[in-house]
Amino acid sequence: MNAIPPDCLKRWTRVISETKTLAAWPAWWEEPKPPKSKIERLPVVSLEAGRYILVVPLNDSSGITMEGARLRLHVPTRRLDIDMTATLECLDWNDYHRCIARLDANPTGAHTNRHWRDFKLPWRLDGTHLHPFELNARLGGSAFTSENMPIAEAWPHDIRNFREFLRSVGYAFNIADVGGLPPPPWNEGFQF
Amino acid sequence: MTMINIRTTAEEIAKTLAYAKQSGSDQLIVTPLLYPSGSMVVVRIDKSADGYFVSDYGCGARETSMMGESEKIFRRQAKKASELHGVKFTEDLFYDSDVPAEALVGAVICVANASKYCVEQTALAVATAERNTRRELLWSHLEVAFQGTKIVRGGEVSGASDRWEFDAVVQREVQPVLFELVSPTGGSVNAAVTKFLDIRDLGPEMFGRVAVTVDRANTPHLAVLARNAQIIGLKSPASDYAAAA
Repeated sequence: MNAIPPDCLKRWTRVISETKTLAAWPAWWEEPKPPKSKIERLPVVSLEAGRYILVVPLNDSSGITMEGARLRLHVPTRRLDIDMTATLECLDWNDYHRCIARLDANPTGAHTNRHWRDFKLPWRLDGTHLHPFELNARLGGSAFTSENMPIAEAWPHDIRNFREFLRSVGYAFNIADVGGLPPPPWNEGFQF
Repeated sequence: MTMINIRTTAEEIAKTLAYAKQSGSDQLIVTPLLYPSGSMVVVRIDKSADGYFVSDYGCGARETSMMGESEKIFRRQAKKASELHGVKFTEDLFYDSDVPAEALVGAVICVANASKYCVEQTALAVATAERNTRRELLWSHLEVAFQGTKIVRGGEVSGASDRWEFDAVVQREVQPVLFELVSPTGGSVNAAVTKFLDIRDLGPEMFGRVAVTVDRANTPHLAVLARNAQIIGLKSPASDYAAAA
């Protein structure tokens, strides 16, 4: 069955619509860690695929932490201000964390909307785009599992740096104080 | 006339299906292959001492990480995907190395397809997966509560008299913390009490001890458990996990 269970849909809708705040002030961590025993084999690997990740639980408008709701930020470790992604995650009907909305800022590759005709959207998006909950939910539960949020809309704001990315995340996901998160530990003096 | 126009159109489409792009010093090829989310598969090529290095730029792993709790499934699928497409996989990257110039097109096709295949298979596996164990839920909560701290899943710790396995050991610098799931049965409570008691005999400050109840209301002997460990519920918010530790 592809339908999202009603209680789950209700929870997700609340998480989307609620004005949220950060429930913690976490630090960034790096992933993947180079395997210590194998690092001599191909050290370039972790440099290329490396990313900084930050995950933070979210409070609702009354300051109570929402069960399973969290924000996840991904940025590349060696590329500044591109391929930055934010996902809003919630527990699903099986207690798995699922991404229910996603913002891709300055992605390397374009996005292709498979359902462009049904949703009257451009078939291709070249720059920053939002995978909105409301549109993807119309596809049913598979949009949040096997299809991985296939519908996206162009994001109307330019994102030139991390601060502007956070501002857009706050606006897209309705998180009031996300702008206070620390930047990733990039060495901005490096030319990669 | 119409035939010529259609042929021209077909040729134009074919030429624009894939394109090259530079990102910083990285030379990329944006392919027409799509991940399940609709993102295009990107391949990076780089000159190496004995030919070329071709990789999926970590995009497959990155794409998978957006699905939530799917990294382990991705790595399991990666072995099959790399064998099927004749490429290599390590950490979070599909790649082929020392590729001669005449084989570059083939290498790009194989790396791109391996990455796409692996993400698709991961998405299907994630869609049908049930929560394997309560341990996974516990680990998921701990990752949020103790970000940046090493978490040993199913770690062993020596107590005053014996060696015990705990569901999770959070390797905090100030004081490691032991987490043990407790089911609502007498046997589960007794096992947890035994472990925590033996650890406590090392000295009360040596380890943080946290019992995580699956169904607190129906868990027997809670008072005995509470003498040896902090108690929280499995579905408690991350802040409770951190506070209990």
